[in-house]
Amino acid sequence: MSTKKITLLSSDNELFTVDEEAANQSLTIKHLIEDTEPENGVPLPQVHSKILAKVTEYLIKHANEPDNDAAAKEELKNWDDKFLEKVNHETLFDLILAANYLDIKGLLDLTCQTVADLMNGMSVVEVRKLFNIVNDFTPEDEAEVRKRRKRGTKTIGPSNDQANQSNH
Amino acid sequence: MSCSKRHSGEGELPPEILATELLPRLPAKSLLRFKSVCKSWRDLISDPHFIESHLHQQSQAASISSNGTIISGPPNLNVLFGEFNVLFSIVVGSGDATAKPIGFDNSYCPLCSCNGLVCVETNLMELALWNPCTQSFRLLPKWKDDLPDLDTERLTCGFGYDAEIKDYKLVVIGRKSGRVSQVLVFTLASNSWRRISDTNLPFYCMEGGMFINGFIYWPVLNYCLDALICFDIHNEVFNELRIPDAFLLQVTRNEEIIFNIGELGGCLVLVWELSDGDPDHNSDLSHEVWILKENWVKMYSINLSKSFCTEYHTPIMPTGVISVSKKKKKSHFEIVYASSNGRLFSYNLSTNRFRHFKAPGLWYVKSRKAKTYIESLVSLHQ
Repeated sequence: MSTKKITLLSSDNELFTVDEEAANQSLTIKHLIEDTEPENGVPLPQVHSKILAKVTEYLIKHANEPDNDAAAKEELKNWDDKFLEKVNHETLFDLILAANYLDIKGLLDLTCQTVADLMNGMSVVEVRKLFNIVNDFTPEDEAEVRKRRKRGTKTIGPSNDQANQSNH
Repeated sequence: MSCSKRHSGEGELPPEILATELLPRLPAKSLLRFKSVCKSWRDLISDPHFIESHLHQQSQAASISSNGTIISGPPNLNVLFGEFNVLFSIVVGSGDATAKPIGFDNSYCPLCSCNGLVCVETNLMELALWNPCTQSFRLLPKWKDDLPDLDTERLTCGFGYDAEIKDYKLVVIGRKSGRVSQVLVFTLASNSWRRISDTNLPFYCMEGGMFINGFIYWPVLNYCLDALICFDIHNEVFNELRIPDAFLLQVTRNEEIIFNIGELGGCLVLVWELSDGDPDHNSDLSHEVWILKENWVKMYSINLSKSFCTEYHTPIMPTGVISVSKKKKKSHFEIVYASSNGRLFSYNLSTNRFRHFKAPGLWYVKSRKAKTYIESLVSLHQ
């Protein structure tokens, strides 16, 4: 089995060393190694050391994913939960960006699911705040949405059907 | 899509990550709420391509790996029961499951469901499609004139998605004299009905079919057919599907057969009550769960003790199969049962334990064959 070491270079010039097997979970890193055979570490100018530390932690843990061992799968799942437990929103978003850039499917799934679970319990205002979105609806737009929603909560039948179809 | 005005701050994600990775993971109900976040989110959430990828993501989440252990499940899966004039949904997500009406007036009866759309029948035998989540409703064109010889007591239908032509199809089977049935197919895009070849398969069944992976299955089994009936939604042909050999004897003995079909991870499952030939059910009952992979494979055995059956009044009908996932916990399968005195409970296939559903309003379940239903944003106006 190969135990070749790969060195990763963060945007702020910090070095991280991982086994090739761990690094290869990132398709971006895998292709960079294949194409360029870098001698002084794989340069990752889009990833800060603070985030790359988290990413390598994930890569090392997931290097040997169990196939059919239910207990090991359960253990890994619990580890995943803990991995993001104390991470703040900013870091979580940075991890999504890094997982996307580095093309690590497992980490992208995990981080996006975590944000989705978080959003699920949020109000519209809280979601705007989370994503830094400014409400661009006019008061008239909002009144219209409220009116439609009020009509929608009524039970449905052919009488409402006419109203619904005329909208399209 | 991008929001026009932004100020710098903690979290911003590129639109393509939002559209393909993040938002499809949210339940349809949450997405409907988040249409109010900003105009670009509203446009994205209404986009047909987004709706399709959302549906795909939600169905994927309910799937299982090949060895039968579950990877993950959607936040909840609903089971629909039609009862008089209200449609009930049992939301089995976290904590206690409660049946609640999801809003419907008049005498509509849910027949079948696919991708979040429910086909309902009025007491005048009109058919309509309904998305309970988006509250969109569409009454279908008259169809009865196309089936002139119809024996109105015997109507069966099935609803599914033809992935090859990317359209929804509703098939209506009307029995006429003898064993020949006339068949109509409705397609959503054309908004019209057309006749296809008659079938001589014996549809002694008023149940709506269950759509799984390109085929509609009907739980038809009786003295003149020892197979299930299935309909290939793209090629529009009917076929017989053999049941496991182990059950054939019961069918040929002409006993009352208690069974139902359901879906697990994109596969057909059969829940079957084994008979010991004792018509009074004096002994314990056992139910078996079989899944159709390339062949039928037995998955589980469920033992219902005699005392349990006495309390719940046999026969106890398996009404549906559901995948339950509690947040961040391993998901599992449950079989939902309805007893003949109208009580609902489910059996957890991982822990072998029963739990009861609180079902206010659902005091008597008339149709004891539930339909599984997944919330979606699918539009009825294509």
